[in-house]
Amino acid sequence: MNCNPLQTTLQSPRHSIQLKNPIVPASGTFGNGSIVHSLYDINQLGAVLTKSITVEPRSGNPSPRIYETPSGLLNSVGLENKGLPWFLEEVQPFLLSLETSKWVSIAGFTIEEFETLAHVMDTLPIDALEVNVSCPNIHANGVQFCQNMAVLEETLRRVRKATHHFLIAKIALETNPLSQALDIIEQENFDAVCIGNTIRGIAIDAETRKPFFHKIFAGLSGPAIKPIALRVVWEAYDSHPTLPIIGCGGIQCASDVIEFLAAGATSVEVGTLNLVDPFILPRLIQDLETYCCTHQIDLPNTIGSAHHSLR
Amino acid sequence: MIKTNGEIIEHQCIAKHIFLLSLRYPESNLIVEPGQFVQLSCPGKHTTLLKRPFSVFDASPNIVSIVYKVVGKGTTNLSEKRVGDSLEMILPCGNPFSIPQEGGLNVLIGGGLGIAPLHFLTKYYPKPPFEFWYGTSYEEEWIPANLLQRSGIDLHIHADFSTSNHHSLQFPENLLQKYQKESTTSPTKIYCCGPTKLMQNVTKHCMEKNIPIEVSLESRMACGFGICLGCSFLTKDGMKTVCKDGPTFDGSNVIWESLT
Repeated sequence: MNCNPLQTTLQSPRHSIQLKNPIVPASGTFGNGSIVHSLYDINQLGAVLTKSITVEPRSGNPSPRIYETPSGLLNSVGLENKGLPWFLEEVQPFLLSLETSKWVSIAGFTIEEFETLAHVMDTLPIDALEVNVSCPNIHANGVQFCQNMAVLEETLRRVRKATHHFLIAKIALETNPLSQALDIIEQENFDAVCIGNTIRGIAIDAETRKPFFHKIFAGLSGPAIKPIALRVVWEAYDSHPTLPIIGCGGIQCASDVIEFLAAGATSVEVGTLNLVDPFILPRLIQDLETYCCTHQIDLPNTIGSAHHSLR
Repeated sequence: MIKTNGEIIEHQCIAKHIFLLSLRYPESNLIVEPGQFVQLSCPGKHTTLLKRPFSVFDASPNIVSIVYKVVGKGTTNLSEKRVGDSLEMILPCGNPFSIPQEGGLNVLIGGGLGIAPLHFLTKYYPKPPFEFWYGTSYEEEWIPANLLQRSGIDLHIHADFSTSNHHSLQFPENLLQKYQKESTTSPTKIYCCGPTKLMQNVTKHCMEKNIPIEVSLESRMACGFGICLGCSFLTKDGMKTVCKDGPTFDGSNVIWESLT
């Protein structure tokens, strides 16, 4: 049997990144990699992606921060992190010691903060910068960066000017109008889009009849959102077939990965299931290899294949 | 920390809605210490995604025991499992209690199911003298004393069920009051686990009396090993996670107002 390698390439007009396989941990569900690296060798992953870093330290939202839903998880962590100087001091050495693709996620509360972060990251020998313009737990006048097209355009333009790195725009699944946002991402010379982040939801405590979370709104992730994420990946590939897509939303098994690739993703990010099973990523890689061998498919031909099947 | 499958070898109801569950797993070289916890999958008729954290009540090579109360979907599912069923689990999680001082007097104050890690402490370290104070809100939720007692432990069982419905409205405050009133000993250290209010009050008492205090905190968790920050809270040393930096903490270091 001809077993195809899992190697995949994120290819834009300006850059390309070759990954050992399409499996990448989603930001915020993997720490900065060191804890998981004590459980298994994370160099086997397609890439390692850090938790979103902000300019200033953030203590995040008050507890409670976690609420389980049927097949999903609402979180209100609020981008807790120790800030940029700590990242440079404590995380950077570990990240740069890795022997796989090294990605950093950045989150700003103003366009200037995004610009600052991109500028600082430009000096580091990392492979990609994921620009988190979607996190629903933060307050930028109540509007996510990716939901205001003028703000999105300005943010991406200034980030692009600040760095030569391979740039990924991480957008919300609710981004509207999606096609216009993707136009902006391409036009501002971003290299890929990650679709997507958590979906805004709320929980109500039935005993007290009050919102469960202090911030009322929280982000829903996990298998519950997979069909929605697949739909947005499908639409993005349909309208922008040459823009590399990283699919993210509820992946639990190798066939979920195949579904995202068939819908148009080139690689995937796995989030919530890292919290359920810290050993899931190596298993996914192994299962994906078995799947490809068993079905005698290769990954490049799988990307967008569900669209091609309709032609 | 490993992921493994545990086979249920013991599962019994020991008080109303409270169960003792023991699981056997294949890995014989795993060391599980008092204060650590296990993340247990709880599949069943109610859909659950996350594993649930449970303090270790007892452990021996290949076997770990927990005591849990049925409070939601996960624990309802768990209560319907039978001997012979298998559950996925991750263990050991978190940091253990510090080693009790031999020759000194170690006072243990446990409220409700907070007795679980304290019980394991007395089993794991047989030599140091312990004085064990235990209280709970509901008479029907008493853990049978024979499960807690072992020779050498001075077990003070506290109850005040003078109110209706066998509900001690003053718990957990009255557990500490009873201890303060009745204990004649001078502890070298106090270990406490139970409702946050109890741990906060005991910590205040200890700080006033200059007694070292170690608590085992409880929190909603997602991952249980420090990556999601779902259980972060504020300490005097900055933000810490209950699951990875704890669950055992120096009580005097906890900013209690940040815990809900």
